[in-house]
Amino acid sequence: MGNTDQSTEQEDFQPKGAIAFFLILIVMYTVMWFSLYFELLGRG
Amino acid sequence: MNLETFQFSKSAKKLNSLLIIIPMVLLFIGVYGGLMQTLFRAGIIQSDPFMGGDYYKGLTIHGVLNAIVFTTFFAVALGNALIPYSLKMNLNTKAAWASGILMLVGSVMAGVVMLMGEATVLYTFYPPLKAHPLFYVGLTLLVVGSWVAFFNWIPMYLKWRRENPGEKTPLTVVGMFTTFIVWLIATASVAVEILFMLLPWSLGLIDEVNVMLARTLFWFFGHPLVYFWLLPAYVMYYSFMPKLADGKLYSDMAGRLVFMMFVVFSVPVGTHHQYMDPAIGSQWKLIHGIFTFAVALPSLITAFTLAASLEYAGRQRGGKGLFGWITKLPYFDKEKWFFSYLISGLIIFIFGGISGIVNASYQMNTAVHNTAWVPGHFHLTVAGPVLLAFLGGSMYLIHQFMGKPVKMKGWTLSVPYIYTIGVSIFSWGLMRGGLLGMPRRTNTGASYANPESVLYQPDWMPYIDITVIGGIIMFLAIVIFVVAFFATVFARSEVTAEEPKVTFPITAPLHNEPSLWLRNFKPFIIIAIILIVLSYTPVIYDVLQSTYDGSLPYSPNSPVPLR
Repeated sequence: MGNTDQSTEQEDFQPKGAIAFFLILIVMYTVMWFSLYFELLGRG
Repeated sequence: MNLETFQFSKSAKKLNSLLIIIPMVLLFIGVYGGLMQTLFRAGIIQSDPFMGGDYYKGLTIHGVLNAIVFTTFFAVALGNALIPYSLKMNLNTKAAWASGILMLVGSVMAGVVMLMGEATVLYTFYPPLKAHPLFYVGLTLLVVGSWVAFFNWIPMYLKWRRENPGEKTPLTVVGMFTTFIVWLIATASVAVEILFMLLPWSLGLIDEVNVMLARTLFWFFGHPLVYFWLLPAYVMYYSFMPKLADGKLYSDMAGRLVFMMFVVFSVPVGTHHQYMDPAIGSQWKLIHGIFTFAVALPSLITAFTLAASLEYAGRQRGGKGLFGWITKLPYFDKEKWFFSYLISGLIIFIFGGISGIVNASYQMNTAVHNTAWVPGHFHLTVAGPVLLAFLGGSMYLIHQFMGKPVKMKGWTLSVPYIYTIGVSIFSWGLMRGGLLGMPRRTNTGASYANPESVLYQPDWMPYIDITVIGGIIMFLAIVIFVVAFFATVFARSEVTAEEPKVTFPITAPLHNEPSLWLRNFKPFIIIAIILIVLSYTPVIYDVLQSTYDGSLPYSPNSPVPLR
């Protein structure tokens, strides 16, 4: 019974929020990195 | 929470308590030095009102006590706690005490000569700045003491493996061993630098020192040192944090993979600190830069795995929707005060991570190199997630090993949030100023922030003032912590019929993958050594082939050599 509960619990959980968080993190990192990159380019 | 317990010997408890209490005192001295740095740099003070001495003496004390002494003591104490606890085996207390005494004697030795102003060489102790020989001997004893602690755990681990064939090593043990494998490899180079170069030079046995070789050996150690700081925090993130939030670790395999990646990629990266140094070919610097990007991968895996673990916890606590789980985590639960230290550190680390990637980007490094951006960045790493995890861990360890109730829980809970506000303001000021050209290390108060100086830079002043505000808030947070910590240390013990046992909030995995390929350190250590040899051989060759003279010793206060 315990094992069935555990496997159901594992199958049911989809970390959609964590995936969204991770994508936002990567986009934010990209924006921040390029903002510094353009700062560098702006210095000629 | 239903937690497993383990009975440590009284001797082990006493040792681990001392390994936490003594560095806490040293940490506070270092933090005070940090506050003085912001005041010096703003031109508010010209000499230290309590310790005496100039800016560079304070900067050295701040860096060495906080970034090297406190962190090393905590890492050893955490290993002394988690390895016996996880393997259910007693520590060899004689060896553990020998390690603790070596570390303590070394730290006191280095601390005294720094306070006397005889070792004003900053925490990187780059030549040609020369320290008193006891500074180098003290640091050596600190490192050797930490090695003894590690060597003390190895027979326990091997015995456990013999007695438990086929079982997965507990993740806490994998994490602590990763920490000290990286440390052992990294400190080998700084041992060579100190014993064969700086110490004989400081003693006057040799006249000159090869500055470039010393810097290269330092950074062989200096960047993996960052992971020596981060890894114990990662152990607490993976092992404690989901449990504190009533959740589970999303993937046990992810944790193991992350630790093994740190074994492989932590060391062959140091030359990215030397992008602007002469004598090393740019192609080798680029290779180190690429490896630095590789070592960012385990941190990205960690970001996802911990987010998934916390999402699971938040949903168990009733969180709905894509991000509703975030609001359900126990940020303000006084009984789970430890959670606030770990989650605050992770939030800070989001910004510490990206600023580190900027530093490691070869061309972009030219925009930030040796500017205030760099201390802005590393206060978002070592003085962010690492410091907060270590403070929370120190409070938890002292509570467990001394059997004392945590005092001032509300204040204890508030510390990481106050500190996060402070360090965010502080680092933003430094980084923004750094992008305008504000230098690191330099005492701006005597020059760029002094209206009477020809070097005065009025456009930097708002950012310098911002760092003062941030620094004061950070300092207040640490004062609150230190008061709560010593209130706990001196509190009455919890009355129990028998000797209290020690417990840790160890998280169970949600996905417990077999991970057979991640169960042995050996192949990963071999790959690490191959990468180190391939990446460092040409660098050392370049440095040795370059033609320049050695350097006589200097102090930061004079352009004239000391002898």
